[in-house]
Amino acid sequence: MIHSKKVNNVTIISFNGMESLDAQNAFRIKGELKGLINEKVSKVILDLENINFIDSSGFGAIISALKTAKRAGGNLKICNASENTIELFRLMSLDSVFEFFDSEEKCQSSY
Amino acid sequence: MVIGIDIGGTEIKIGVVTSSGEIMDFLKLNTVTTTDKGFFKVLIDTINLIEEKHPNIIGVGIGIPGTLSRDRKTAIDVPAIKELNGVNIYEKIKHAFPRLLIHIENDANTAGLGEFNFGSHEHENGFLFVTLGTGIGSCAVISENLFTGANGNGMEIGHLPSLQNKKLEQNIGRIPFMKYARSKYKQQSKDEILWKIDSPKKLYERAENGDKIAISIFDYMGILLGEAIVSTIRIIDVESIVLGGGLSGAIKYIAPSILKSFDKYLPEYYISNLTIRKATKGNDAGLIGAASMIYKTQNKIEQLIK
Repeated sequence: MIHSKKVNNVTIISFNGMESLDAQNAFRIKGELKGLINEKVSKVILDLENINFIDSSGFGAIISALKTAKRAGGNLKICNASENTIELFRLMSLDSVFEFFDSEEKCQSSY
Repeated sequence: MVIGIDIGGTEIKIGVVTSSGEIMDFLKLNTVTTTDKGFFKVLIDTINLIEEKHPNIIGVGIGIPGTLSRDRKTAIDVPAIKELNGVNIYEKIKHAFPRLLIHIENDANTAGLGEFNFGSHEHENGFLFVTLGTGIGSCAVISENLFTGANGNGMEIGHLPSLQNKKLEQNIGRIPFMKYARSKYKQQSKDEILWKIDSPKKLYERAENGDKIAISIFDYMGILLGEAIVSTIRIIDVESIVLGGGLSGAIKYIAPSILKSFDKYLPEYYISNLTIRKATKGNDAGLIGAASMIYKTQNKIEQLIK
């Protein structure tokens, strides 16, 4: 389940009860992320604390959310990603596309 | 579960494949970036991460776009990824994952195995798979075994002699085929936009709209392909022909002239049960076919243990 909260004009999105972003759930997640991000909500933090695997469909959903946020003049940053998840971003050559932070607070203060 | 890897010149597809050919987790890496970062390091790191999520992985099947040593361990010539030439790929992967079964095969063969094992068609008495893409690749399965020739790199239908002292794929591989299409439009049409046609999809759409020039261009492909398939059938005597790859979408315009070649050159014995059909597994065929090699070995092991 996707959970979202707003702190200081930044929307923080987390995934409860999900361990991976893959073909099984990516389509739904892509739609939900798109729904959450709009002109008023463009500073976004994706909290990947519970996620231990992302496949190409999952990356597609995250990239789509990043594009939506950037089109609205904002950004999408990532916090609490595990070493394995960051490694997947690196293997997919997406590590330079996103900013990673080891805590929600640090990520927030970067905005 | 098995990890299937389909290495191409543009991208590397990696997926977890079930015994029924379903792909569970799928990753696509850019080949050039992967090679720049260290081909085997990236591949091994990716397998490691997948294995952490799926601890029940039993092996890794890999398709390589080039020729392989007879023992299927070393890449001989991989034109799209020269860094692999002469490398013992099997040892590199096995060293990193000693517990896992590892199989390496040519990519046309893995695509053929994907169709043979998981496609919608039944293939009782042998199977010939031909991929129509940038190049023309092929694969034969006879008595449920991959036919690779004595030294392991046979079944190169795209390299058979063809028109104008060229190899078949130099005539009907995607680039020369579209060049031929442009030359035909230049000869037969006043519409200068068509003189620059560069996509088989656009050509197919024109054929669908009844454009006789487009239909005759696919007819040309069918004639050349048909002659090569006739030669192959005369050698390996198979009954089921499956066409895959991007250009196979135009099978309804290619097949009639292939069938004409069959009627012209083959006696009733070869034709009576011959079928020619379009592949059903699309771009997944190579990945799931690579994985199917591991499932086959695992089945053999289980039979031996019984």
